[in-house]
Amino acid sequence: MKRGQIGNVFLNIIVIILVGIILFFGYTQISKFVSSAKEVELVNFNKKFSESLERNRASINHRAGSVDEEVFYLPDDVKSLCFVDETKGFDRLVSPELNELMDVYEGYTVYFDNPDIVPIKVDYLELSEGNNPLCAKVTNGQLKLKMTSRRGKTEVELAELGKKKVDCNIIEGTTDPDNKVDVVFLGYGYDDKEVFNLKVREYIDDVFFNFEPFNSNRDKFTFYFIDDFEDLDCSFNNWIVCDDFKIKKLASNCPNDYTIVLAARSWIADLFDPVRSSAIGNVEKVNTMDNPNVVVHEFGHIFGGLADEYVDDYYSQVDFRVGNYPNCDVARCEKWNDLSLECYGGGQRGSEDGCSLTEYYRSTETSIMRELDQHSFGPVSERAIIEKLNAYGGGR
Amino acid sequence: MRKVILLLMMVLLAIGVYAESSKVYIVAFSYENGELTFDDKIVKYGYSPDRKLTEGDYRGEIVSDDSVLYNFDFNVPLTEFVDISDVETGELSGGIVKVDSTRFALVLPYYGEAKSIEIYDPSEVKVMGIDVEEKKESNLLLMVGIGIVLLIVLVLLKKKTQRKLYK
Repeated sequence: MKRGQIGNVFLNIIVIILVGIILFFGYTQISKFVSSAKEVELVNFNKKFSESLERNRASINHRAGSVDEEVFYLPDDVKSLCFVDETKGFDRLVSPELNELMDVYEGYTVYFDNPDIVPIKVDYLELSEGNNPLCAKVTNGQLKLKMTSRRGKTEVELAELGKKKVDCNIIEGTTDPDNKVDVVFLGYGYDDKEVFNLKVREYIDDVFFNFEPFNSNRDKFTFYFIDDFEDLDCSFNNWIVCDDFKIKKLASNCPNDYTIVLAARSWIADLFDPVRSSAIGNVEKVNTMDNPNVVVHEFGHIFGGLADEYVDDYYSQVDFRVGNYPNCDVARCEKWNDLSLECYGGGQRGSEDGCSLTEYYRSTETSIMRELDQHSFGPVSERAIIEKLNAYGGGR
Repeated sequence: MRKVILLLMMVLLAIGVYAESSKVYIVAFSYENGELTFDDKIVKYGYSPDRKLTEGDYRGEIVSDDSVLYNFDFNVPLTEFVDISDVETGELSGGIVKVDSTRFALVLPYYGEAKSIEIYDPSEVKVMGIDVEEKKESNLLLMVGIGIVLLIVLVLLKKKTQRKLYK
């Protein structure tokens, strides 16, 4: 290679390295520029929001109770934010993400979903009781707030209720995931949060706690619901099939030892195409058009590990092992000998008289595990459920 | 200045430690022809079940470099109870459905120092190790990109030089 050619190669290498360096620093500078543009937007939000809080608080010139609605602008990458009022009771269930940010950044009032954005502190902010923290979804970088004048402060609410972001709602019991049986309700096919909320309350108050041993162990349960109706990819084909990954992802917003998916169906659809409720793993899927007691029946499967006490041919097609279930037994019923109970089944009164299969026995003539019109599990199943409940401390 | 750096370090350390208590892994699996395979995993804020009553034929461990951080058992959900009631009598029918293949997910607690989630089948044979090690994100991708471009240009240049020489 001639000296001139060697020189060319080195020149090219130097050019390439220079281009590389320029590219690298160019990228860094552009990133910095974008980031500083976001900072400016945040500073503007902080300024406008602070001014609004100060302007709207009740004073000699501003009557208490007067309401103003304002739109605030945020950087595009802020998808949600939370307001915190340190003077009010705080609900840690609303957002686990916020809890973490609050432990890192103490004493701030506005937190953003992007952990790279430092929260801001504003004066005169007030949230109503039971509404702290107030988390909101930000759409297209905009958030509309309702500012109500209060004595020396401004109460902040969302102008559009649909924008409220709550990861998890508690409906019964207290939050203590280590000591409680945590049951979370999810909704499929709902679009009205209030309707879903009422349905969940009905299932808990009018159905679940109408059964023993649940009622006398009320303190061992905490019920939650998530009314963010994300698509769980459910289909109705004989029974309800949903995407388990999606169920678990949504349910994990709340403590979730057990998950109940309420699948809303119209009675007309159910009349022509009845769909079965089902239980698999720690999840039960309930057709809301079915007898409400089905929630308890399926819970008997997933929590109590109970078998069906009715007879069905399906059981003859699977490897049904009676030893795995506390409420069905072989002849002489040794599982519940100590309780001095009868042995029903074994085909004594026809082929329907058994426990999952005709050849097996149950401890009571009928129960919720045999018929949905019944309001008792029977002593054997109750004992099995209580044994499991003993793993939980409970307490208020 | 030193105090400020120390304070910043403490804050960063606090972030790292606390994060563990409020994050979870959601791990998706498939089961087909007797074989369990890993599909996907995500890390998110949330809660994992306490698994107090969970029994199962399969066993899992979340492990770090030198210790087991969390143990859990699980079953592949191949049986589903399906029930339908007679509107008039409340009489139940349905029973149990057994499938050969399924897709399911587990919610597991997150550990910052975890390296992998190891799964053992009912005969205690390790069937998979799911990498969960936190990768440090930086401008590494950009640097690698620039490096590759540089390398290609260098090779092209060399070839060009060689071609000139042959001429």
